[in-house]
Amino acid sequence: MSSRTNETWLADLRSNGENREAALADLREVVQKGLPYALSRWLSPEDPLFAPLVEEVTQETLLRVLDQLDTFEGRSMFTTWVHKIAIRIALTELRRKRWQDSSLDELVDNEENPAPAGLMADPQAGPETSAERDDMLARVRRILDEELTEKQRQALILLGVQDMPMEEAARRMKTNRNALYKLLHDARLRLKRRLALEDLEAQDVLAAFESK
Amino acid sequence: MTDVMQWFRGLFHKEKAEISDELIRDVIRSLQMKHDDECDCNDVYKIVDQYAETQIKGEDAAKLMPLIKEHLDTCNDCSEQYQALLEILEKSETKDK
Repeated sequence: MSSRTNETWLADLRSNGENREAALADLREVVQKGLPYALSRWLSPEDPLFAPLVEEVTQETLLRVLDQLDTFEGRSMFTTWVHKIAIRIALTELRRKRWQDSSLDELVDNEENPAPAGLMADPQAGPETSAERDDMLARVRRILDEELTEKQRQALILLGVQDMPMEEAARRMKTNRNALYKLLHDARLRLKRRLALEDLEAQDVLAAFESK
Repeated sequence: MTDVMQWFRGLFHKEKAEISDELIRDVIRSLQMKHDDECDCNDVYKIVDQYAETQIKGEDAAKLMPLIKEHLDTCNDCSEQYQALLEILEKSETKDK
């Protein structure tokens, strides 16, 4: 496979005839070589769904690349940009398949829920240490109650369910991932300011949680 | 009513749904971000290829693009995207040598 510059990729893909076909064939090969490395993070290569998913994502990637060719800004190598698109398509598909049939009740029932008290407890901690941790936890819970909007609370709890991806939480809240991220970012800003008002740093709080 | 609202109502009819201790800890950890400016998922998606290449070249991407780094630290979805891209670039580079 020839190594093209960004400019050559763009020119060939925008052209008609042989150059375009050759570029598409090469691009297909690029995607099909790279995608399995990423996909195997979430799906075993032995899984019968693996190869069909690679094919499906490759097809979709080529279509999307051609459609979005004008948005390529040259910040990276063209092939890196294409890999990025392929991963995005693959992740969206995997998340959709993973979560689509799960009701919230099932997800919550299947979780080890609530988190056992021992999760943040130190078995060697004495009663006075546990009291300090409990006090800090209670204090932070009060702050969360007072600072977070209802939507922000809902979002946090939802994201805590079996590490639900943002994309999925956004879908369930009938919003989009970007809006959800901004919601959470606003929540973080509020909490940061509130902690500052109470003369607390995040590291002090974490230290209290882990104090011996 | 969306299924999410119904689910929450189910929890709330007895008492307010609790945020778990572990989640509280994660939330507090995420407050250690240095910048109040935000970089949303769309911003990160536009630039994550550049960020990954910077990292692969051996430059300190986190230092050069701190807002991206902070977003990746607080957004699992974008972090997954980035890690996967890094994997492809690293493995492709190794194979080509």
